[in-house]
Amino acid sequence: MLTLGIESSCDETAAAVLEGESTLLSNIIWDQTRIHSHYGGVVPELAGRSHVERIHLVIQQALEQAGVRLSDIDLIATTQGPGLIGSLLVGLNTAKAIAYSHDLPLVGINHLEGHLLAIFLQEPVEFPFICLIVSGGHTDLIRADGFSRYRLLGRTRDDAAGECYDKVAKMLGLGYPGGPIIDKMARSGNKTAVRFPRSYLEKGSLDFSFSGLKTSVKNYIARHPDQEKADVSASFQEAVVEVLTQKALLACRMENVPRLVVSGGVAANSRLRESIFSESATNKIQAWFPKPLFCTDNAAMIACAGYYRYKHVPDAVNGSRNMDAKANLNF
Amino acid sequence: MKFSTNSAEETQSLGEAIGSCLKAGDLLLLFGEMGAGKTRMTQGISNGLGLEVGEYVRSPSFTLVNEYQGKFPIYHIDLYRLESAEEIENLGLEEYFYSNGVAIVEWSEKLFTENRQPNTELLLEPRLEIVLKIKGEHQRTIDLDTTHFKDTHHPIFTLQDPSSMASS
Repeated sequence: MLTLGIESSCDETAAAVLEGESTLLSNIIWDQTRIHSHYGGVVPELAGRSHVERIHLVIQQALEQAGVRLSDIDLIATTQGPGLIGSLLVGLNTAKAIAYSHDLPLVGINHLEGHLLAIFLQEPVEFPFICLIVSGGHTDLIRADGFSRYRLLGRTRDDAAGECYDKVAKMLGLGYPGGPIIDKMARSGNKTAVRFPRSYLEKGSLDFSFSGLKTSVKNYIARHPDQEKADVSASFQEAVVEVLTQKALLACRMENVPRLVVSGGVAANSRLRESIFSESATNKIQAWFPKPLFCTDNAAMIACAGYYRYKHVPDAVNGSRNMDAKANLNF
Repeated sequence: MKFSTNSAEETQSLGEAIGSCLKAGDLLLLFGEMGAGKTRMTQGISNGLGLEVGEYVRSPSFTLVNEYQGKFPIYHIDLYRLESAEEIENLGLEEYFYSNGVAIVEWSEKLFTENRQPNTELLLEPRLEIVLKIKGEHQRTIDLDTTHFKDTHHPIFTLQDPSSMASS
């Protein structure tokens, strides 16, 4: 069975062809970072326009690299939300058009389910497991009991962790995107130079809050303009990583689930990987990270989630040709 | 109307009082630098508008517009990422302004030139302006400016004395 995955929820235009559940035949990602770097973040109007220009080429390339034609495809999976509406619409409408013209079943995938199942492209993880999805737009803790059986345990009450990285990078004049830049900068800095606040919220809460940390870094930079940027980067990163690690482990303990998957763009962060692996080992929790290529937005994970959705909830294809893109799609 | 608050919680309480006075179709423009408390103010306003307890207003920097349901729809808009008037006009904000809900805009600075003239063709009157300024680590002054608000019978004018508000 061949699944064509399409993803355009934010600033990556992506298409992938997946054979069966995990044999990836192609995985094309057109990254728009260069277009947005000047602005210190994704500019929705530019993103939408760029998707329109690229989507057909990207799909064509994915088919060519996989050595298949559209007529060979058995299922189309596309991101329905959440994301930027002008970006989502491009992938979704392209997918609908292909589904109509080739009379193919179509499933709409929640972008977060894509991140949650990305690990299955590498190896299957036994259910139930806890998943921390951490990116520029999300910081969510989810319990997965099976395919299409998920429960939200906690999420950010204000800024997403990745957004906080972008904003701090901008304050320090380091450029965009903030995650990789700060990660690199932090390696030569002292992570104990500044003790930034860690927000754990109420006892037992699995929600996150990063807005206070952002403000605190801003105040610190204003008061100590000569402080080494590497030290501020390392100290800021330590505060984010510590909270993410501790909350993820707390979720595992509270739910009595010894398996943790960390996914999403920020999961590519080297310090987060190091911290989660070391702390989970101490706590007898097994941890998985998809490889960086599957952590950032990609269509392989959408194809993968689509495959499982179709297999476990065959009704999902009913009416899907009439579905709408949803910017705030709930989990 | 000028208020001062001594903590993020007080800023949120003031927001709640403001929110409870709002009507469908109202447009609120928030001004203030990073860390001034715009998102906290929005959380309060949304609570005052009847957002379900335990629901949180998250930063819309990524999705640009977040929609919540209170007594009527709440459109939380963030212009942080936008640069030019053209980009803002391309957003279709007129769908959210003066609609069936309340529109709350963060980083409204982007809608005006340096001498506070609108830089877009978007209709921005009538509007309520909320200007948040950082006075100390936790102190903020909050100016609720009704200059561009014509409806003198609007419940916002029944807002209580600032000093009793902030301590409530």
